[in-house]
Amino acid sequence: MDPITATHYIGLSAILFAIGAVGVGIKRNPIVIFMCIELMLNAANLALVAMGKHLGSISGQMMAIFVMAVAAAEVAIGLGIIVSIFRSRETIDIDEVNLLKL
Amino acid sequence: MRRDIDVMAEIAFIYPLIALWVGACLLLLLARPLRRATRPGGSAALAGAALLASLAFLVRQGNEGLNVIAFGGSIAGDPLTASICTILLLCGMMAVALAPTYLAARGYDNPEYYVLLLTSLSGAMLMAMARDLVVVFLGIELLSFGLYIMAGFVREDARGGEASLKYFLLGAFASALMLYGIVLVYGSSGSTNIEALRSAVIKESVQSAMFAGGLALVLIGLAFKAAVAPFHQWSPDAYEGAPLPVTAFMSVVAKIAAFAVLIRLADSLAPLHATWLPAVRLLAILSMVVGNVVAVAQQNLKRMLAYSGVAHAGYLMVAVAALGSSHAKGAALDTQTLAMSGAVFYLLAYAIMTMGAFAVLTYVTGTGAECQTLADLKGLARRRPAAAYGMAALMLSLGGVPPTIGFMGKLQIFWAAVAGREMGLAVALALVSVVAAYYYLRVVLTMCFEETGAEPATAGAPRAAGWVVAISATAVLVLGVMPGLLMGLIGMVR
Amino acid sequence: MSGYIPIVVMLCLAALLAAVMVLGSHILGPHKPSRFKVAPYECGVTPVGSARERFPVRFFLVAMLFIVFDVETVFLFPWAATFGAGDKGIKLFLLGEMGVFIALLLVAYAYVWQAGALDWSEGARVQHEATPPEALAVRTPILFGNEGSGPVNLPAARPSGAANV
Repeated sequence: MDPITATHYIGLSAILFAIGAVGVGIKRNPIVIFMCIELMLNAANLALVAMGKHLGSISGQMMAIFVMAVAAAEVAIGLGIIVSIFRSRETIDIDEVNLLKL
Repeated sequence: MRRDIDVMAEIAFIYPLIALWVGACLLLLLARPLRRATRPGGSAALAGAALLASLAFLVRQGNEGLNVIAFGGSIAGDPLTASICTILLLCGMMAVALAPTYLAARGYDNPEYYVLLLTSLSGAMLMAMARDLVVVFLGIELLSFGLYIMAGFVREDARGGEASLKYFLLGAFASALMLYGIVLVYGSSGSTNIEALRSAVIKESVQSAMFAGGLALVLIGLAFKAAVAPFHQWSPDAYEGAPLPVTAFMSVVAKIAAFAVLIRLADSLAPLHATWLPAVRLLAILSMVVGNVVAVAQQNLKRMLAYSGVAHAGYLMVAVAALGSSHAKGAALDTQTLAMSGAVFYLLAYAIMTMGAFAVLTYVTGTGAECQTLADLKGLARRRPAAAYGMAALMLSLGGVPPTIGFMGKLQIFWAAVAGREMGLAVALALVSVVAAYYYLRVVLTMCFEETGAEPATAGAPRAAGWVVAISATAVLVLGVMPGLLMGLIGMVR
Repeated sequence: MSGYIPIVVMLCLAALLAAVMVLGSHILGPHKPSRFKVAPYECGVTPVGSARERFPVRFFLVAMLFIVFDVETVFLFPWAATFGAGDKGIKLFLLGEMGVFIALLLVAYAYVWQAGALDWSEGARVQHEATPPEALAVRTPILFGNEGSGPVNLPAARPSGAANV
């Protein structure tokens, strides 16, 4: 049985990252877009831990912890912004939020 | 961590940051009394004090702060750091001065605004100090989090909320791309420290596609924050929707911080220029052309300034390209110095000009509806002559007309490009400047020669914004005639 | 990859078994649908409204605060793991650093508290007062589904705009 190596983890993280990046492009609901971004951050975390293990250095794991804290703060801010918009307009569909031309 | 005595010296190095954070904490703890205070401006005064304290710590460090390496080499001081931090703090002070009247008129002169401003600014300064890509990432996030919220700070304004949401979604996406880039760099080289990367590059121990891909993602993330075309789509919307003082702050601070990192990376990774120089050249050309051409069509001044910001980011990218190119062609060290000092000079010029232009808009807005279209400025020369003259000086400077600081800045970047043998970029820079002059001059003409029935305004103009206009307009002219005054700040770069 | 083949085989077998059982009972079993059998629950309280009802935005606020304060804990673990190594001076320094970190969290906590974000009961009272008394009086009585022999009296779903935002 083949051992699972760092390459497998990095491949998985690349796939997760790609799913997230594509999702940001095709989804219209800000909450779902936001979930896709979180998926990208977590893909980075997975790669960080795997690479840290592969390189035999602790810094990969430390970085992953920083990223977790940053991601949590981002969740709080993102939800806050979405709730604030929802309160004022009763919709958060990205196509209906269009006062500014893009 | 076996250096008990050094630790205090390392902490002393970040006193300028700590001053900002202490200010933010005090604002949070005093939030209730500050909000109940009958006279507005208390929060702004506290924030201003924190900024002054920070600047005082920075100045007191003086030359000692120029060769500190702190926290395991993750942050360090050098002339570039010191000058960028000084510029950032000056911008922060101007942004604080613009805010109280505008926000109070809308019922939002809350301490939270200044907390966000101070933390954002500390993130920008952290980026300037960073010698490690992870610290760059943390700095970017600290900078952006504040900006996302500030963009939607006036909650009743639907446009503000929308700007906030768009900026947040695109910004978070760009941060995620950049983070993955950092991860790839870490995986391929085993380090995220910029100095370690430099030595790895020199030894040619990393040349893999993974490293190049990581660098590309980091470049995209920074280009996004600096609003470099084609990653600028967020900026017109975010600028237009955000409240005026916030637009002023974010247009300047985010760009300066991102370019501080770009300049440092270009300097450190110059041996690898074959990988990144073509991309930077492309970004520079695209940014100059897109920014200037689209700006011509804008009737909304906030959007026009957004596209003009894209164009200025393009000029700065020319300096970054010259930095790499000078290394490529084995030019003398002074070519690199020329490119770096030119870039820093231009960053300062951009900060003064843009802050000043937004200060004029804030000043004219006063406590009324936002002044943001070209039509709102009609007849300003008659209604508010002082503001109109200030705006004229700032617009001429943005357009690069001599004798202003904008002209001197462009000249320096032009010379750096020529010295680095980036002839194509130098020619492009000169050509687009002609287009740029058109739409800035249009603003001046509108102010002076188009009339509306509006009566000359008498009262209601915010005094602090007026001071910002006066100082920036004076600085634009004086430093344009005597750029040598700045050499104490700029000349020490390198 | 050969090591994974048994897992793939097992997954296929499990899927096949599940499909056979569901399809088999569908094809072979008798079908005599009645009013009570098609109801979501054959006994107990009749469901009222949609399960996907919107809930007060206050939940979001508390969830946001929870996420932020919860994740900060993650920094305590590496700190605790490295605390033991090192002499007394280093330990004192580390203790001071963690003290600063906790103090910063406390500042945030104090701010959140004074801003009223933790005050759940006050918000609930406001919502209660906002409901007019006549609306409470005409509330649909709870039905137990199986009374009489008539069709199950499912009350109409409440208007979806009734969320207390």
